[in-house]
Amino acid sequence: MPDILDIRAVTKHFGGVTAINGCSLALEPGRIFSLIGPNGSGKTTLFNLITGLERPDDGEIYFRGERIDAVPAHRIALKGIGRTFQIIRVFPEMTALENLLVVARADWESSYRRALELLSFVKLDRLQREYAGNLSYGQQKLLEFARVLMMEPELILLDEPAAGVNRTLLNDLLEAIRQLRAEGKTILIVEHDMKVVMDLSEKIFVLDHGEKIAEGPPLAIRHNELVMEAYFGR
Amino acid sequence: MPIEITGGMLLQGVVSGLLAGGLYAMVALGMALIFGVMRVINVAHGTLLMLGAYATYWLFALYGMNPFLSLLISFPLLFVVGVILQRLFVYRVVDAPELSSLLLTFWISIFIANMAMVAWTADYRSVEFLTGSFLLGPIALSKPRLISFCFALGITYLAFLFLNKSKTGKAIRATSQHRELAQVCGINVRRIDLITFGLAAGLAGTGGSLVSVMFSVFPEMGQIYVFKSFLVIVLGGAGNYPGAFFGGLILGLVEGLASLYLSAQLSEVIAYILLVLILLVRPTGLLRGRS
Amino acid sequence: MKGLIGAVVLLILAALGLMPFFVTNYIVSFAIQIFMWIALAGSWNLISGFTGYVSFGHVAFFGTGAYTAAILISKAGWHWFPASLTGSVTAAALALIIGYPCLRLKGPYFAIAMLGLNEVVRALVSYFETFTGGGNGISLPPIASIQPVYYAMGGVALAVVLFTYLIITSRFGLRLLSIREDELAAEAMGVNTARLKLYAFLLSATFPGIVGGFFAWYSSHIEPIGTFPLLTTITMIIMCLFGGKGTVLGPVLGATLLSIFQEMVWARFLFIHQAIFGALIVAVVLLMPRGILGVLQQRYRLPRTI
Repeated sequence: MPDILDIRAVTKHFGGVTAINGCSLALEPGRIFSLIGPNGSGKTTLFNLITGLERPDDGEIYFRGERIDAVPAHRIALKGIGRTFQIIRVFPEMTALENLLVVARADWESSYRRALELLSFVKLDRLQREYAGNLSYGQQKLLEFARVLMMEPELILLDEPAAGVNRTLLNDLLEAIRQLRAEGKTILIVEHDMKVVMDLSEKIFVLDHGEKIAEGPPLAIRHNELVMEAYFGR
Repeated sequence: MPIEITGGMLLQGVVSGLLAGGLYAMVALGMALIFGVMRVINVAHGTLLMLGAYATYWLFALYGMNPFLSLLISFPLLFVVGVILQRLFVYRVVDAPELSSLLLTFWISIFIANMAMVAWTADYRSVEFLTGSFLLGPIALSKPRLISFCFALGITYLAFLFLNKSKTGKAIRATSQHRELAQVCGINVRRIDLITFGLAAGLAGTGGSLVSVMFSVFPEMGQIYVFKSFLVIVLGGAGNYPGAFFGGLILGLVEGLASLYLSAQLSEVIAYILLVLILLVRPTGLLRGRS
Repeated sequence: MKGLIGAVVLLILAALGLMPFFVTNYIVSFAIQIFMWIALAGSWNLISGFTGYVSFGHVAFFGTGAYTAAILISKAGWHWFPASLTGSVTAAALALIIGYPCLRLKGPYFAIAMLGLNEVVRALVSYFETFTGGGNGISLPPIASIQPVYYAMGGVALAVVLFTYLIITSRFGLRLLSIREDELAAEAMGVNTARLKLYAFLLSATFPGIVGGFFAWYSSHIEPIGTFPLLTTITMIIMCLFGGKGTVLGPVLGATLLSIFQEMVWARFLFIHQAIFGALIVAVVLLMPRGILGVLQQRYRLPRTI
């Protein structure tokens, strides 16, 4: 089956800093992948490159066989890539419901229904008329997640979904992610919580200093020396 | 109206433009500092310039003081005015959304301009100290312009020395690059804000003093310099202070050439079109700026 | 409930419609003024209240419309109504030319670019003297009756409020708001921010264009200084902020209250008026950035359609 996402030798500089250096990776559709690496290794930058918020200086990115590295961000979103952010970016002075409706593509009626469904799914339906800025951290995280789902993406990028989230909420989130995978979605997660990474992923990519230094199933990565070095030094 | 433009005329236009540009650079540097350090768009910058001009005028008219000597007074005077304004009003909109700072500084400018109108009337004044030109080959260098340019250059140079070598100057640059980080490093940013605004006001006032030697002095005189300072900041790249210097020269040059080939009235329009074009291509300004 | 509100609205409109027949000319011209400010503040609301992009040169569109209409009336003999409508076209054209490059700029730079726009349009008007009469301006035939202007201005004010209502209840409106909230996130969620901003900007420029045309006809004389003052922009901004930016009736409230205030204080105490107006600016900016309706909306969880 052809890869849903194909990143080929992508490079990105910011001033004098090389954030991503000739990085290549490919995702098969319908699986859960993780992207790990020490802080500053370029994970969020890679997300930004995929979603079109940054342009690569070199290399190409293909989504479902179509080249997207020069496509504007909003069109990439419409093509079926959705993401959450490391620092939550809900729309604070809009209600939870409005946050979801902004994203909707279909007619008012069905969008409204779907939005309410998703809010129930993340257990925020009582708070639908609450300004998103007034929600708690965990609730905002769930809202952002629901908002991504509202887009009905094929590929979902989650940037540190477990950060700052309590155990119960986390389990709900993981359950939701597994359910998405069962529906055939492809998921790429940036995460620092190793337990989550090992539990959830079918394949892990490791970045260090903007380069991919390893990829493989969780067990292989766990015992990989290069990965150890990257995190802990020699 | 196709007039034959000779090489001499071209040179004249270029030189006049550059002379004016030096002045623009000095004034714009002040505005750039305020924007860089406090994220405030100071629409009142023109009125600060106006105050400096009036200071020089009155010192000249009442005491016969040499306008260029009066710089020693107008700079510190405006420095104090700047500090007071910052302490009383501007500090509230530091780092605030641009609408807040625009409205507040606009009100300050109206207030000061009105007081000036009441105090000194709207009559046009002039400081007739220096007239005539030096003749250098085919070019006539207006004496007031040349000397003003020299002073502007000197003062700008001193400003840069201050910014680069002194402890406070470095603190100013650090704050403008990264406010939070500067605080973490122990810099008292409130104090830096005061000093920066004072310095900027001083530069504007000095600009006014120099302008008074060349052009009429009246309450609204500063308005156009606000606009020009914006242009300079964009041309030079936001947050790029040496850039502001070159931006000033570029603006002067553009004006000089536009006056020559088209019309003096259109020079602003040309400069604005240039501004928009540059922003299209490089949203942070012509030379390397900072978003 | 909805029926009741609808009935009240219709009643108010009917009252306003019949008013010119029952009151003095002074009140009618005062009403014209209020309508004009409602239209202006409401237009500014469309771009700045909704998307958060601060248009600090909005009076440029007003002036463009005024001059377009004046030129068409005096040089081409047009009737003032179509001339004013054409004013909206030139204003929109200007908005397109400027908006396309400038809306890409980040907040402060956009504001600066807009500030410059005003100066530039004024300079252009002064330059093309043959058309615009330069510093002397254009004189138009004095008008016979101000009643048509009353209805015209009232119509535009109503149109602005209506458009704002329609937008805020639409998906277009929600997306504009999301641009204000977090443009980057909006873009990542599939909102075509560049295009939507431009639409809002164009819309926000057409109404001042028409209003400018009516104003030119009403005043029978326009010249650069009176037609492009920064104070007009500031006034429409303050009115919108005071009433509540991003709301439907905020500009109406702000324009009405502040016009009444200006009328009562200006005529009598010029100097104090400036001081108080200035103090008002400061107060609004610092203490009440959301405006009256904005605060109420948040506190009492009122619907967006207020």
